[in-house]
Amino acid sequence: MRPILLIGGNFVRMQWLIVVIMTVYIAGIAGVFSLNQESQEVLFFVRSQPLYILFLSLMLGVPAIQTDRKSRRLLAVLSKGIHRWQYLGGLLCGCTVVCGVFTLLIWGTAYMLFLREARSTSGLWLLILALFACCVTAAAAGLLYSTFLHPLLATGVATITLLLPIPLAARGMDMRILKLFFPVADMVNHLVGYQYGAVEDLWTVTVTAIILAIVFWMAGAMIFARRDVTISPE
Amino acid sequence: MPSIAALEFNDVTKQYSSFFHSDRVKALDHFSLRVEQGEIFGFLGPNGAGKTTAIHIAMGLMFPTSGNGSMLGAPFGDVEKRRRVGFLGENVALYHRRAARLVEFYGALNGIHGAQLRRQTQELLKELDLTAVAKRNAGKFSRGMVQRVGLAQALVNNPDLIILDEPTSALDPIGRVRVREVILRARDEGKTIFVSSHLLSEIEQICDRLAIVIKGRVVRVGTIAELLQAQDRFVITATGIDALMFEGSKQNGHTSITVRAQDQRRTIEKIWLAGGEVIAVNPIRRTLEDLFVELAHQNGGSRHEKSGDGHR
Repeated sequence: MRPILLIGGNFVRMQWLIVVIMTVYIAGIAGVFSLNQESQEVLFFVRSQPLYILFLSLMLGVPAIQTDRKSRRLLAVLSKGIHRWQYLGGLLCGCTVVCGVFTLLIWGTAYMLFLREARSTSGLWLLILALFACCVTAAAAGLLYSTFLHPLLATGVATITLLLPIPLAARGMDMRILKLFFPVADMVNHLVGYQYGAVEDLWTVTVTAIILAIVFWMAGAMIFARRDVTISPE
Repeated sequence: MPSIAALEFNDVTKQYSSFFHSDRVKALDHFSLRVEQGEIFGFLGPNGAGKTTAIHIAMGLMFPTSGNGSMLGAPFGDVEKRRRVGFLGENVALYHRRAARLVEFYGALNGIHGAQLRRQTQELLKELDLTAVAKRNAGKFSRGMVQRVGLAQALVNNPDLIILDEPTSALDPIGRVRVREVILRARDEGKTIFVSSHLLSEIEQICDRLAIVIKGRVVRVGTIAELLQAQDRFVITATGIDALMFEGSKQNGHTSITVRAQDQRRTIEKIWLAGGEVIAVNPIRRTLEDLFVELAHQNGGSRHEKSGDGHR
Protein backbone atom coordinates (compact mmCIF):
# COMPACT_ATOMS: atom_id res chain seq x y z
CA MET A 1 0.00 0.00 0.00
CA ARG A 2 2.88 2.34 0.84
CA PRO A 3 4.27 2.51 -2.73
CA ILE A 4 0.76 3.24 -4.03
CA LEU A 5 0.36 6.14 -1.61
CA LEU A 6 3.85 7.44 -2.38
CA ILE A 7 3.28 7.40 -6.13
CA GLY A 8 -0.22 8.79 -5.67
CA GLY A 9 1.07 11.62 -3.50
CA ASN A 10 3.77 12.40 -6.00
CA PHE A 11 1.21 12.45 -8.82
CA VAL A 12 -1.05 14.85 -6.92
CA ARG A 13 1.91 17.11 -6.20
CA MET A 14 2.65 17.25 -9.93
CA GLN A 15 -0.95 18.26 -10.71
CA TRP A 16 -0.99 21.30 -8.43
CA LEU A 17 -1.31 23.72 -11.32
CA ILE A 18 -4.41 22.10 -12.78
CA VAL A 19 -5.98 21.97 -9.31
CA VAL A 20 -5.27 25.68 -8.80
CA ILE A 21 -6.67 26.54 -12.22
CA MET A 22 -9.86 24.55 -11.55
CA THR A 23 -10.24 26.13 -8.11
CA VAL A 24 -9.90 29.61 -9.56
CA TYR A 25 -12.29 28.72 -12.39
CA ILE A 26 -15.02 27.32 -10.13
CA ALA A 27 -14.49 30.13 -7.61
CA GLY A 28 -14.85 32.59 -10.49
CA ILE A 29 -18.16 31.05 -11.51
CA ALA A 30 -19.34 31.12 -7.90
CA GLY A 31 -18.30 34.78 -7.71
CA VAL A 32 -20.24 35.69 -10.83
CA PHE A 33 -23.33 33.89 -9.56
CA SER A 34 -23.11 35.60 -6.21
CA LEU A 35 -23.46 38.94 -8.00
CA ASN A 36 -26.33 37.96 -10.26
CA GLN A 37 -27.95 34.57 -9.75
CA GLU A 38 -30.72 33.18 -11.95
CA SER A 39 -32.45 29.89 -11.25
CA GLN A 40 -31.82 28.53 -14.74
CA GLU A 41 -28.16 29.41 -14.49
CA VAL A 42 -27.77 27.29 -11.36
CA LEU A 43 -29.29 24.36 -13.21
CA PHE A 44 -26.96 25.06 -16.11
CA PHE A 45 -24.03 24.99 -13.72
CA VAL A 46 -25.03 21.62 -12.27
CA ARG A 47 -25.70 20.19 -15.71
CA SER A 48 -22.58 21.40 -17.46
CA GLN A 49 -19.66 21.77 -15.05
CA PRO A 50 -19.66 18.12 -13.89
CA LEU A 51 -19.31 17.11 -17.55
CA TYR A 52 -16.12 19.15 -17.78
CA ILE A 53 -14.90 17.54 -14.61
CA LEU A 54 -15.60 14.09 -16.04
CA PHE A 55 -13.62 14.91 -19.16
CA LEU A 56 -10.84 16.45 -17.10
CA SER A 57 -10.63 13.25 -15.04
CA LEU A 58 -10.19 11.24 -18.22
CA MET A 59 -7.50 13.67 -19.29
CA LEU A 60 -5.73 13.18 -15.98
CA GLY A 61 -5.46 9.44 -16.49
CA VAL A 62 -4.55 9.30 -20.16
CA PRO A 63 -1.18 11.08 -20.18
CA ALA A 64 -0.01 9.97 -16.73
CA ILE A 65 2.09 7.00 -17.88
CA GLN A 66 3.18 8.63 -21.11
CA THR A 67 4.51 11.69 -19.29
CA ASP A 68 6.67 9.57 -17.01
CA ARG A 69 7.74 7.39 -19.88
CA LYS A 70 8.71 10.12 -22.30
CA SER A 71 10.56 12.04 -19.62
CA ARG A 72 12.36 8.81 -18.59
CA ARG A 73 11.31 9.33 -14.97
CA LEU A 74 9.51 6.02 -15.18
CA LEU A 75 12.83 4.16 -15.28
CA ALA A 76 13.90 5.35 -11.85
CA VAL A 77 10.50 4.49 -10.37
CA LEU A 78 10.03 1.06 -11.92
CA SER A 79 13.62 0.05 -11.17
CA LYS A 80 12.67 0.10 -7.49
CA GLY A 81 11.18 -2.84 -5.64
CA ILE A 82 7.61 -2.19 -6.70
CA HIS A 83 5.15 -4.05 -8.89
CA ARG A 84 3.74 -2.43 -11.96
CA TRP A 85 0.21 -2.80 -10.57
CA GLN A 86 1.36 -0.72 -7.63
CA TYR A 87 2.66 1.99 -9.94
CA LEU A 88 -0.64 2.02 -11.83
CA GLY A 89 -2.52 1.93 -8.53
CA GLY A 90 -0.49 4.92 -7.39
CA LEU A 91 -1.46 6.89 -10.47
CA LEU A 92 -5.10 5.94 -10.00
CA CYS A 93 -4.87 6.89 -6.34
CA GLY A 94 -3.48 10.29 -7.35
CA CYS A 95 -6.23 10.74 -9.95
CA THR A 96 -8.80 9.83 -7.27
CA VAL A 97 -7.52 12.57 -4.96
CA VAL A 98 -7.57 15.18 -7.73
CA CYS A 99 -11.06 14.02 -8.81
CA GLY A 100 -12.07 14.35 -5.17
CA VAL A 101 -10.87 17.95 -5.12
CA PHE A 102 -12.72 18.72 -8.36
CA THR A 103 -16.01 17.19 -7.18
CA LEU A 104 -15.73 18.92 -3.80
CA LEU A 105 -15.36 22.22 -5.63
CA ILE A 106 -18.49 21.45 -7.62
CA TRP A 107 -20.33 20.37 -4.49
CA GLY A 108 -19.31 23.49 -2.55
CA THR A 109 -20.35 25.86 -5.30
CA ALA A 110 -23.60 24.03 -6.05
CA TYR A 111 -24.45 23.88 -2.33
CA MET A 112 -23.95 27.61 -1.98
CA LEU A 113 -26.02 28.34 -5.08
CA PHE A 114 -28.81 26.00 -3.99
CA LEU A 115 -29.02 27.72 -0.60
CA ARG A 116 -29.22 31.12 -2.27
CA GLU A 117 -32.02 29.77 -4.48
CA ALA A 118 -33.70 28.40 -1.33
CA ARG A 119 -33.64 24.92 -2.87
CA SER A 120 -33.22 21.70 -0.93
CA THR A 121 -29.65 20.40 -0.91
CA SER A 122 -30.66 16.96 0.36
CA GLY A 123 -29.92 14.96 -2.79
CA LEU A 124 -26.93 16.94 -3.87
CA TRP A 125 -24.35 14.90 -1.97
CA LEU A 126 -25.44 11.70 -3.74
CA LEU A 127 -25.17 13.39 -7.11
CA ILE A 128 -21.65 14.51 -6.21
CA LEU A 129 -20.72 11.09 -4.85
CA ALA A 130 -21.85 9.45 -8.10
CA LEU A 131 -19.98 12.11 -10.05
CA PHE A 132 -16.84 11.40 -8.03
CA ALA A 133 -17.11 7.65 -8.69
CA CYS A 134 -17.62 8.30 -12.40
CA CYS A 135 -14.61 10.64 -12.48
CA VAL A 136 -12.45 7.89 -10.99
CA THR A 137 -13.81 5.44 -13.57
CA ALA A 138 -12.99 7.88 -16.37
CA ALA A 139 -9.43 8.28 -15.05
CA ALA A 140 -9.07 4.50 -14.72
CA ALA A 141 -10.28 4.02 -18.30
CA GLY A 142 -7.73 6.58 -19.46
CA LEU A 143 -4.98 4.78 -17.59
CA LEU A 144 -6.04 1.39 -18.94
CA TYR A 145 -5.89 2.39 -22.58
CA SER A 146 -2.75 4.45 -22.21
CA THR A 147 -0.86 1.33 -21.13
CA PHE A 148 -0.86 0.19 -24.74
CA LEU A 149 -2.15 3.03 -26.90
CA HIS A 150 -0.90 6.46 -27.86
CA PRO A 151 -2.58 9.05 -25.60
CA LEU A 152 -4.61 10.48 -28.45
CA LEU A 153 -5.94 7.08 -29.39
CA ALA A 154 -6.40 6.17 -25.73
CA THR A 155 -8.58 9.25 -25.21
CA GLY A 156 -10.80 8.27 -28.12
CA VAL A 157 -11.12 4.62 -27.15
CA ALA A 158 -11.72 5.45 -23.48
CA THR A 159 -14.42 7.95 -24.41
CA ILE A 160 -16.15 5.33 -26.57
CA THR A 161 -15.83 2.73 -23.80
CA LEU A 162 -17.42 5.06 -21.28
CA LEU A 163 -20.10 6.69 -23.38
CA LEU A 164 -21.05 4.11 -26.01
CA PRO A 165 -24.75 3.85 -25.02
CA ILE A 166 -25.35 7.57 -25.64
CA PRO A 167 -24.94 7.56 -29.44
CA LEU A 168 -26.61 4.15 -29.63
CA ALA A 169 -29.60 5.38 -27.65
CA ALA A 170 -29.78 8.41 -29.91
CA ARG A 171 -30.23 5.96 -32.78
CA GLY A 172 -33.21 4.50 -30.98
CA MET A 173 -31.61 1.39 -29.46
CA ASP A 174 -32.86 0.19 -26.08
CA MET A 175 -29.98 0.70 -23.67
CA ARG A 176 -31.68 -0.14 -20.38
CA ILE A 177 -29.84 -3.44 -19.86
CA LEU A 178 -26.49 -1.95 -20.82
CA LYS A 179 -26.87 0.85 -18.28
CA LEU A 180 -25.24 -1.31 -15.63
CA PHE A 181 -22.07 -1.63 -17.65
CA PHE A 182 -21.88 2.04 -18.59
CA PRO A 183 -22.30 4.02 -15.37
CA VAL A 184 -20.52 7.07 -16.78
CA ALA A 185 -22.93 7.27 -19.72
CA ASP A 186 -25.79 6.88 -17.25
CA MET A 187 -24.33 9.68 -15.13
CA VAL A 188 -24.04 11.95 -18.15
CA ASN A 189 -27.71 11.32 -18.90
CA HIS A 190 -28.56 12.16 -15.29
CA LEU A 191 -26.58 15.36 -15.43
CA VAL A 192 -27.93 16.55 -18.76
CA GLY A 193 -31.51 16.04 -17.62
CA TYR A 194 -30.95 17.19 -14.04
CA GLN A 195 -33.80 18.90 -12.22
CA TYR A 196 -33.70 20.15 -8.62
CA GLY A 197 -33.87 17.21 -6.23
CA ALA A 198 -34.01 14.48 -8.90
CA VAL A 199 -31.27 12.06 -7.85
CA GLU A 200 -32.98 8.65 -7.92
CA ASP A 201 -30.98 5.62 -9.09
CA LEU A 202 -27.57 7.16 -8.41
CA TRP A 203 -26.52 4.48 -5.95
CA THR A 204 -26.39 1.99 -8.80
CA VAL A 205 -24.29 4.41 -10.81
CA THR A 206 -21.93 4.94 -7.87
CA VAL A 207 -21.42 1.27 -7.09
CA THR A 208 -21.04 0.12 -10.70
CA ALA A 209 -18.65 3.00 -11.40
CA ILE A 210 -16.41 1.96 -8.52
CA ILE A 211 -16.48 -1.68 -9.63
CA LEU A 212 -15.69 -0.67 -13.19
CA ALA A 213 -12.79 1.51 -12.03
CA ILE A 214 -11.30 -1.47 -10.20
CA VAL A 215 -11.81 -3.68 -13.26
CA PHE A 216 -10.08 -1.08 -15.46
CA TRP A 217 -7.20 -0.83 -13.01
CA MET A 218 -6.74 -4.61 -12.88
CA ALA A 219 -6.95 -4.95 -16.65
CA GLY A 220 -4.48 -2.09 -17.07
CA ALA A 221 -2.12 -3.68 -14.57
CA MET A 222 -2.23 -7.01 -16.41
CA ILE A 223 -1.41 -5.36 -19.72
CA PHE A 224 1.20 -3.01 -18.28
CA ALA A 225 3.01 -5.88 -16.55
CA ARG A 226 3.80 -7.33 -19.96
CA ARG A 227 4.88 -4.13 -21.67
CA ASP A 228 8.38 -2.82 -22.30
CA VAL A 229 8.41 0.53 -20.57
CA THR A 230 11.42 2.02 -22.27
CA ILE A 231 10.81 3.75 -25.53
CA SER A 232 11.44 1.62 -28.58
CA PRO A 233 13.20 3.03 -31.64
CA GLU A 234 10.95 5.31 -33.66
CA MET B 1 28.14 -25.97 -6.22
CA PRO B 2 28.69 -22.78 -8.25
CA SER B 3 28.08 -19.49 -6.46
CA ILE B 4 25.09 -17.35 -7.37
CA ALA B 5 25.96 -14.80 -10.03
CA ALA B 6 25.18 -11.18 -9.32
CA LEU B 7 23.93 -10.88 -12.88
CA GLU B 8 23.60 -13.53 -15.55
CA PHE B 9 22.32 -13.38 -19.11
CA ASN B 10 21.66 -16.68 -20.86
CA ASP B 11 21.38 -16.49 -24.62
CA VAL B 12 19.24 -13.36 -24.50
CA THR B 13 17.93 -11.94 -27.74
CA LYS B 14 15.95 -8.74 -27.94
CA GLN B 15 14.31 -7.67 -31.12
CA TYR B 16 12.40 -4.45 -31.52
CA SER B 17 9.74 -4.23 -34.10
CA SER B 18 7.67 -1.33 -35.28
CA PHE B 19 3.89 -1.35 -34.99
CA PHE B 20 3.44 -2.94 -38.39
CA HIS B 21 6.43 -5.29 -37.93
CA SER B 22 8.00 -4.11 -41.16
CA ASP B 23 11.27 -3.02 -39.59
CA ARG B 24 12.93 -5.29 -37.05
CA VAL B 25 15.93 -4.18 -35.05
CA LYS B 26 17.99 -6.70 -33.14
CA ALA B 27 19.45 -5.00 -30.07
CA LEU B 28 20.75 -8.17 -28.40
CA ASP B 29 21.73 -11.25 -30.31
CA HIS B 30 22.16 -14.44 -28.24
CA PHE B 31 23.78 -12.35 -25.53
CA SER B 32 25.36 -14.28 -22.66
CA LEU B 33 27.27 -12.83 -19.74
CA ARG B 34 27.99 -13.65 -16.11
CA VAL B 35 28.93 -11.08 -13.48
CA GLU B 36 30.25 -12.47 -10.22
CA GLN B 37 29.40 -11.07 -6.82
CA GLY B 38 31.80 -8.55 -5.32
CA GLU B 39 33.43 -7.36 -8.52
CA ILE B 40 33.38 -4.11 -10.43
CA PHE B 41 32.35 -5.13 -13.91
CA GLY B 42 32.79 -2.78 -16.84
CA PHE B 43 30.41 -2.92 -19.76
CA LEU B 44 31.76 -1.37 -22.93
CA GLY B 45 30.47 -0.99 -26.42
CA PRO B 46 29.97 1.56 -29.16
CA ASN B 47 26.72 3.49 -29.44
CA GLY B 48 23.88 1.19 -30.32
CA ALA B 49 25.71 -1.95 -29.22
CA GLY B 50 22.88 -3.02 -26.92
CA LYS B 51 24.32 -2.04 -23.55
CA THR B 52 21.31 -0.10 -22.32
CA THR B 53 18.94 -2.74 -23.64
CA ALA B 54 20.80 -5.41 -21.66
CA ILE B 55 20.62 -3.29 -18.52
CA HIS B 56 16.91 -2.56 -18.98
CA ILE B 57 16.18 -6.25 -19.46
CA ALA B 58 18.09 -7.05 -16.27
CA MET B 59 16.06 -4.43 -14.40
CA GLY B 60 12.79 -5.86 -15.71
CA LEU B 61 12.00 -2.67 -17.60
CA MET B 62 11.74 -4.64 -20.80
CA PHE B 63 11.41 -8.28 -21.69
CA PRO B 64 13.71 -10.42 -23.84
CA THR B 65 12.39 -11.81 -27.10
CA SER B 66 14.12 -15.07 -26.20
CA GLY B 67 16.53 -16.30 -23.57
CA ASN B 68 16.51 -15.57 -19.88
CA GLY B 69 18.67 -14.43 -17.05
CA SER B 70 18.92 -13.82 -13.37
CA MET B 71 19.79 -11.05 -10.98
CA LEU B 72 21.05 -12.00 -7.50
CA GLY B 73 19.74 -15.51 -8.14
CA ALA B 74 16.20 -14.60 -9.15
CA PRO B 75 14.76 -14.13 -12.64
CA PHE B 76 15.06 -10.67 -14.16
CA GLY B 77 12.46 -8.26 -12.87
CA ASP B 78 11.96 -9.97 -9.52
CA VAL B 79 10.56 -7.29 -7.21
CA GLU B 80 12.15 -8.54 -4.00
CA LYS B 81 15.60 -8.69 -5.58
CA ARG B 82 15.17 -5.25 -7.10
CA ARG B 83 14.97 -3.89 -3.57
CA ARG B 84 18.60 -4.97 -3.21
CA VAL B 85 19.63 -3.29 -6.45
CA GLY B 86 20.59 0.32 -7.09
CA PHE B 87 20.04 1.57 -10.63
CA LEU B 88 21.18 4.77 -12.27
CA GLY B 89 19.96 5.02 -15.84
CA GLU B 90 21.60 6.85 -18.69
CA ASN B 91 20.46 10.50 -18.92
CA VAL B 92 18.72 10.14 -15.61
CA ALA B 93 15.47 12.07 -15.24
CA LEU B 94 13.91 12.67 -11.86
CA TYR B 95 10.80 14.37 -10.54
CA HIS B 96 10.93 18.06 -9.83
CA ARG B 97 11.09 18.28 -6.07
CA ARG B 98 13.59 19.01 -3.34
CA ALA B 99 16.71 16.91 -3.72
CA ALA B 100 16.53 15.41 -0.23
CA ARG B 101 12.83 14.64 -0.57
CA LEU B 102 13.50 13.08 -3.95
CA VAL B 103 16.12 10.71 -2.60
CA GLU B 104 13.82 9.83 0.30
CA PHE B 105 10.96 9.21 -2.13
CA TYR B 106 12.99 6.67 -4.11
CA GLY B 107 14.33 5.11 -0.92
CA ALA B 108 10.79 4.75 0.41
CA LEU B 109 9.76 3.01 -2.81
CA ASN B 110 12.42 0.44 -1.98
CA GLY B 111 10.89 -0.18 1.42
CA ILE B 112 13.18 1.94 3.58
CA HIS B 113 11.61 4.43 5.94
CA GLY B 114 11.88 6.40 9.11
CA ALA B 115 15.15 7.41 10.71
CA GLN B 116 17.17 4.97 8.61
CA LEU B 117 15.96 6.57 5.38
CA ARG B 118 16.66 10.09 6.60
CA ARG B 119 20.13 9.15 7.86
CA GLN B 120 21.12 7.38 4.65
CA THR B 121 19.79 10.24 2.55
CA GLN B 122 21.80 12.79 4.51
CA GLU B 123 24.96 10.69 4.35
CA LEU B 124 24.69 10.24 0.60
CA LEU B 125 23.93 13.88 -0.07
CA LYS B 126 26.98 14.78 1.99
CA GLU B 127 29.17 12.27 0.21
CA LEU B 128 28.07 13.54 -3.18
CA ASP B 129 28.48 17.22 -2.24
CA LEU B 130 24.75 17.90 -2.37
CA THR B 131 24.11 18.95 1.23
CA ALA B 132 24.08 22.64 0.36
CA VAL B 133 21.38 22.13 -2.27
CA ALA B 134 19.41 19.43 -0.46
CA LYS B 135 16.42 21.71 -0.03
CA ARG B 136 16.46 23.03 -3.57
CA ASN B 137 14.22 21.78 -6.36
CA ALA B 138 16.11 19.19 -8.41
CA GLY B 139 14.21 20.37 -11.47
CA LYS B 140 16.39 23.46 -11.49
CA PHE B 141 19.67 21.57 -11.17
CA SER B 142 22.39 21.33 -13.80
CA ARG B 143 22.85 17.98 -15.57
CA GLY B 144 25.81 17.13 -13.37
CA MET B 145 23.89 17.80 -10.19
CA VAL B 146 20.92 15.77 -11.40
CA GLN B 147 23.36 12.96 -12.14
CA ARG B 148 24.64 13.10 -8.57
CA VAL B 149 21.11 13.10 -7.15
CA GLY B 150 20.45 10.15 -9.46
CA LEU B 151 23.41 8.34 -7.97
CA ALA B 152 22.16 9.13 -4.46
CA GLN B 153 18.74 7.62 -5.25
CA ALA B 154 20.45 4.54 -6.63
CA LEU B 155 22.47 4.05 -3.45
CA VAL B 156 19.94 5.07 -0.82
CA ASN B 157 18.73 1.50 -0.25
CA ASN B 158 22.29 0.34 0.46
CA PRO B 159 22.13 -2.11 -2.46
CA ASP B 160 24.08 -5.33 -2.95
CA LEU B 161 24.19 -4.83 -6.71
CA ILE B 162 24.69 -1.41 -8.24
CA ILE B 163 23.95 -0.97 -11.94
CA LEU B 164 25.21 2.27 -13.40
CA ASP B 165 24.60 3.27 -17.00
CA GLU B 166 27.00 6.08 -17.93
CA PRO B 167 27.27 7.32 -14.34
CA THR B 168 29.80 10.06 -15.03
CA SER B 169 28.68 11.27 -18.45
CA ALA B 170 27.58 14.71 -17.22
CA LEU B 171 30.07 15.17 -14.42
CA ASP B 172 33.06 17.44 -14.17
CA PRO B 173 36.46 15.91 -13.26
CA ILE B 174 35.92 16.45 -9.53
CA GLY B 175 32.51 14.84 -9.75
CA ARG B 176 34.03 11.90 -11.60
CA VAL B 177 36.65 11.39 -8.91
CA ARG B 178 33.92 11.50 -6.28
CA VAL B 179 31.84 8.90 -8.12
CA ARG B 180 34.92 6.72 -8.56
CA GLU B 181 35.52 6.89 -4.82
CA VAL B 182 31.92 5.92 -4.13
CA ILE B 183 32.20 2.94 -6.50
CA LEU B 184 35.47 1.74 -5.01
CA ARG B 185 34.15 2.08 -1.48
CA ALA B 186 31.05 0.11 -2.45
CA ARG B 187 33.29 -2.67 -3.82
CA ASP B 188 35.30 -2.67 -0.59
CA GLU B 189 32.03 -3.20 1.26
CA GLY B 190 31.48 -6.34 -0.82
CA LYS B 191 28.95 -4.94 -3.25
CA THR B 192 28.85 -5.76 -6.94
CA ILE B 193 29.06 -2.88 -9.38
CA PHE B 194 28.05 -3.20 -13.00
CA VAL B 195 29.04 -0.06 -14.84
CA SER B 196 28.47 0.86 -18.46
CA SER B 197 30.58 3.73 -19.71
CA HIS B 198 32.17 5.26 -22.75
CA LEU B 199 35.01 6.61 -20.64
CA LEU B 200 37.57 3.90 -21.24
CA SER B 201 40.19 5.36 -18.94
CA GLU B 202 37.69 5.26 -16.11
CA ILE B 203 36.76 1.65 -16.79
CA GLU B 204 40.45 0.78 -16.93
CA GLN B 205 41.05 2.42 -13.57
CA ILE B 206 38.29 0.85 -11.53
CA CYS B 207 37.06 -2.37 -13.12
CA ASP B 208 38.12 -5.87 -12.13
CA ARG B 209 36.66 -7.38 -15.27
CA LEU B 210 34.97 -6.05 -18.33
CA ALA B 211 32.99 -7.14 -21.34
CA ILE B 212 33.00 -5.53 -24.74
CA VAL B 213 29.72 -5.82 -26.54
CA ILE B 214 29.26 -5.06 -30.20
CA LYS B 215 26.11 -5.47 -32.25
CA GLY B 216 24.32 -7.13 -29.37
CA ARG B 217 26.96 -9.80 -28.74
CA VAL B 218 29.74 -10.09 -26.21
CA VAL B 219 32.94 -10.12 -28.27
CA ARG B 220 35.45 -10.08 -25.44
CA VAL B 221 35.29 -10.62 -21.71
CA GLY B 222 38.01 -10.89 -19.09
CA THR B 223 40.16 -9.00 -16.63
CA ILE B 224 41.82 -5.82 -17.81
CA ALA B 225 45.21 -7.57 -17.72
CA GLU B 226 43.94 -10.50 -19.77
CA LEU B 227 42.43 -8.27 -22.37
CA LEU B 228 45.30 -5.84 -22.71
CA GLN B 229 48.24 -8.23 -22.59
CA ALA B 230 47.43 -9.91 -25.83
CA GLN B 231 50.99 -10.90 -26.80
CA ASP B 232 50.84 -10.23 -30.50
CA ARG B 233 53.42 -7.43 -30.69
CA PHE B 234 56.79 -7.03 -28.96
CA VAL B 235 59.49 -4.42 -28.63
CA ILE B 236 63.03 -5.80 -28.97
CA THR B 237 65.74 -3.57 -27.53
CA ALA B 238 69.20 -4.21 -28.92
CA THR B 239 72.66 -2.62 -29.22
CA GLY B 240 75.45 -2.82 -31.79
CA ILE B 241 73.22 -2.84 -34.84
CA ASP B 242 72.19 -0.38 -37.53
CA ALA B 243 68.74 0.92 -36.66
CA LEU B 244 67.91 1.56 -40.31
CA MET B 245 68.54 -2.07 -41.20
CA PHE B 246 65.87 -3.19 -38.74
CA GLU B 247 63.44 -0.30 -39.26
CA GLY B 248 63.87 0.55 -35.60
CA SER B 249 64.36 3.75 -33.67
CA LYS B 250 67.56 4.67 -31.93
CA GLN B 251 67.63 6.20 -28.48
CA ASN B 252 70.51 6.47 -25.99
CA GLY B 253 72.58 4.08 -28.08
CA HIS B 254 69.86 1.41 -28.01
CA THR B 255 67.72 0.39 -30.94
CA SER B 256 64.06 -0.40 -30.36
CA ILE B 257 62.39 -2.64 -32.91
CA THR B 258 58.66 -3.39 -32.92
CA VAL B 259 57.80 -6.82 -34.31
CA ARG B 260 54.82 -9.14 -34.51
CA ALA B 261 54.89 -12.29 -32.37
CA GLN B 262 55.63 -14.59 -35.29
CA ASP B 263 58.59 -12.45 -36.35
CA GLN B 264 60.15 -12.23 -32.88
CA ARG B 265 62.52 -15.22 -33.10
CA ARG B 266 63.63 -14.45 -36.66
CA THR B 267 64.40 -10.82 -35.76
CA ILE B 268 66.45 -11.81 -32.70
CA GLU B 269 68.50 -14.26 -34.81
CA LYS B 270 69.00 -11.52 -37.38
CA ILE B 271 70.31 -9.19 -34.67
CA TRP B 272 72.77 -11.82 -33.48
CA LEU B 273 73.92 -12.51 -37.04
CA ALA B 274 74.49 -8.78 -37.49
CA GLY B 275 76.74 -8.83 -34.43
CA GLY B 276 74.30 -7.10 -32.18
CA GLU B 277 73.15 -7.92 -28.66
CA VAL B 278 69.58 -8.28 -27.51
CA ILE B 279 69.01 -6.41 -24.24
CA ALA B 280 65.29 -6.87 -23.70
CA VAL B 281 62.12 -8.27 -25.28
CA ASN B 282 58.90 -6.74 -23.95
CA PRO B 283 55.27 -7.31 -24.99
CA ILE B 284 53.48 -4.16 -26.06
CA ARG B 285 50.67 -3.44 -23.64
CA ARG B 286 47.75 -2.10 -25.58
CA THR B 287 45.46 0.49 -24.16
CA LEU B 288 41.82 -0.27 -23.69
CA GLU B 289 41.10 2.27 -26.37
CA ASP B 290 43.31 0.36 -28.85
CA LEU B 291 41.48 -2.85 -28.06
CA PHE B 292 38.08 -1.22 -28.20
CA VAL B 293 38.69 0.42 -31.55
CA GLU B 294 40.24 -2.75 -32.97
CA LEU B 295 37.28 -4.89 -31.91
CA ALA B 296 34.80 -2.32 -33.13
CA HIS B 297 36.45 -2.30 -36.56
CA GLN B 298 36.74 -6.10 -36.68
CA ASN B 299 33.07 -6.50 -35.86
CA GLY B 300 31.83 -3.59 -37.89
CA GLY B 301 30.39 -2.04 -34.77
CA SER B 302 31.52 1.53 -35.10
CA ARG B 303 28.26 2.44 -36.82
CA HIS B 304 25.02 0.78 -36.03
CA GLU B 305 22.82 -0.42 -38.77
CA LYS B 306 19.81 -2.53 -38.00
CA SER B 307 21.24 -3.09 -34.59
CA GLY B 308 21.30 -1.11 -31.46
CA ASP B 309 19.58 0.35 -28.51
CA GLY B 310 19.00 3.86 -29.68
CA HIS B 311 15.83 4.01 -27.67
CA ARG B 312 16.36 7.16 -25.73
